[in-house]
Amino acid sequence: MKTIWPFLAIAVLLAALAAPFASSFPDGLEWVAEKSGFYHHAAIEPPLSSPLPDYSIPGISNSILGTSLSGIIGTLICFLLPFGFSLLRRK
Amino acid sequence: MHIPDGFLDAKTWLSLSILSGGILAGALKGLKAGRIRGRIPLIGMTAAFVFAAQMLNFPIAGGTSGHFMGGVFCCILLGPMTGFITMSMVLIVQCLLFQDGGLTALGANIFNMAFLGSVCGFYVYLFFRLMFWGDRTRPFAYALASWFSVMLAAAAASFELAFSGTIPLKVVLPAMLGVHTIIGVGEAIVTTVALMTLWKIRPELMKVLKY
Repeated sequence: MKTIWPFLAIAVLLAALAAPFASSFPDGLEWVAEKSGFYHHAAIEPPLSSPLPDYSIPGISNSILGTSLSGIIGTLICFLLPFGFSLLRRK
Repeated sequence: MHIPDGFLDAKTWLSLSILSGGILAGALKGLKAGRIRGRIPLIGMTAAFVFAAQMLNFPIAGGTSGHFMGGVFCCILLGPMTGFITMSMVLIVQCLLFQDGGLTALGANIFNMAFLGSVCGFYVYLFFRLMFWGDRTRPFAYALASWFSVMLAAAAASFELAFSGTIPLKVVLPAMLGVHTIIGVGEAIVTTVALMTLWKIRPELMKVLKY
């Protein structure tokens, strides 16, 4: 466990500090979709609305802060979920 | 390469959801508690790193961007079965919490990135390890396998889009492979640097797991 903390800290810092400044260009698939003209197929109304859509936090209009916070939340959830699963399995 | 809702038709996303659900259920069932005992912190750390790194889109030529996928990274650290489950978990969190990748396309995204891009990428790595066994050539096996894993996932996404009738294969396949040839280079650099760094500072984490 002790060896893990520095790596977790790096992951959280990446999400918190670097993610808001990541490129906002369309990714490979979106770019192909735009160029080949099938981007309009993307559902405007998704079947499920997520609590933090597109890594933003409702109510926080500052997109840098929103992305940074959702990055931290997502990173910590991904870190903690395996612990939750292992507790469930033990029972 | 997260497919959004609407790109795949019902027959495609339904069959891929069933397929991925089946593989995931099988993997969870096959995962013996003894094999992951004491490895939960490492699994969590890997998932956290993959999630964070996937947010970091890097710009590439022509107004497009790519980001790290992490499938080969995940499977080399955790073994293919645990690696598949971990990648699926990251994709599920991205889909449910952040709307990154559609809910209907979740099965397709798990199949492309967590199964083909990770598990198959891992076996490509094992194959290259046989060719370049020495420690000096280890980075080449990492780089080639991670580049292939991105190409494999991109090709699968193209076939699914074509099968859905969204776009003809002859249009989408060359375009997807073309842009992911460059994104795959980013994947190869990040995977190789991350794994070589871990191998230098924490070699005990780097035993090759075949399950």
